[in-house]
Amino acid sequence: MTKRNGLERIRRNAHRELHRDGLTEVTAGIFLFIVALAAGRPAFYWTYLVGLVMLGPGLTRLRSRYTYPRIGFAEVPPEDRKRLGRGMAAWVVGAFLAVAVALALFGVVTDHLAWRRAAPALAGILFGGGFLYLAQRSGLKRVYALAAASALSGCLLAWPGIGPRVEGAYANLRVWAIVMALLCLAVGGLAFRRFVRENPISEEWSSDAE
Amino acid sequence: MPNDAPLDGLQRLSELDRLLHEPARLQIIAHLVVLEGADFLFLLRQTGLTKGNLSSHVRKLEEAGYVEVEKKFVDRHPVTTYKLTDRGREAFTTYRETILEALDALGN
Repeated sequence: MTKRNGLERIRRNAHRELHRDGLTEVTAGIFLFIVALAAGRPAFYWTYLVGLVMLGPGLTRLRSRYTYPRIGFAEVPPEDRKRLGRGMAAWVVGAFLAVAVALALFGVVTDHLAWRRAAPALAGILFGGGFLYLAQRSGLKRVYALAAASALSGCLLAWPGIGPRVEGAYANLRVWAIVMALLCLAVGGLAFRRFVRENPISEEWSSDAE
Repeated sequence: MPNDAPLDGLQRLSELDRLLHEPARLQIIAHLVVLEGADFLFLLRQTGLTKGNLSSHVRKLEEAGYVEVEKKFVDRHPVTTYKLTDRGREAFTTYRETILEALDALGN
């Protein structure tokens, strides 16, 4: 193993350590419930904003209370913004293209309702990208599984004849969001329970070397 | 024709930074190279050192100006983090280059 690989391994270990608590998945689960509530309902769009603004600080507060006293605190360097932005843009374009190609194969690419019906596939691939990014940084297998589950469940629910038969109201997107929210909460909740059991609060929390 | 590479390698070894040429300190520095900062508990768990050992090695690195202490608040909770200084980063880079060159020369 080269020195560079060794440093990369240390970086990945630090990421894995900080994400072992399952709280990221729990937070994603809560956000997905917001998606289920607000999808296709303009009156509830404000909840996206509330979720985006509140969930970050909420996660920090939970980690400060449950995670850092057990495993310590570390700051991981921020991602290169340009690289991250390019990666996200490429993923979004790729997801749209994949859905467009699938709809074209069914001969309904210009049908507005078909795009609406394909919303879970699009959302599943987009959320799957987020989980995949987190999985690659941390190396956690359960997050790879969530990435795959997100994309697969989205595509399944968008498939004609599988999703709910309510048209025009993003019903299948809501079903997908609820399924994924429950899965995230279950996976994150179990990981959190295990994390708390395996890592008691340390006497060294916040103490310095003196 | 005699090959002087191993001798060069040995000479390069004598140029190694003695402060970093110690497994525990090198481990601490390697963690701080890839992290923006870490507290005592995180380093303790990641390096597997004892409290006393970690404490004494961190102090040595701090005295050499390789590591600095930063006190901050995370969700209103005071946290003492250790960060690598520019000097520490430079020392690590030099150490890495020197030891790689030395080992490379010795391998010839």
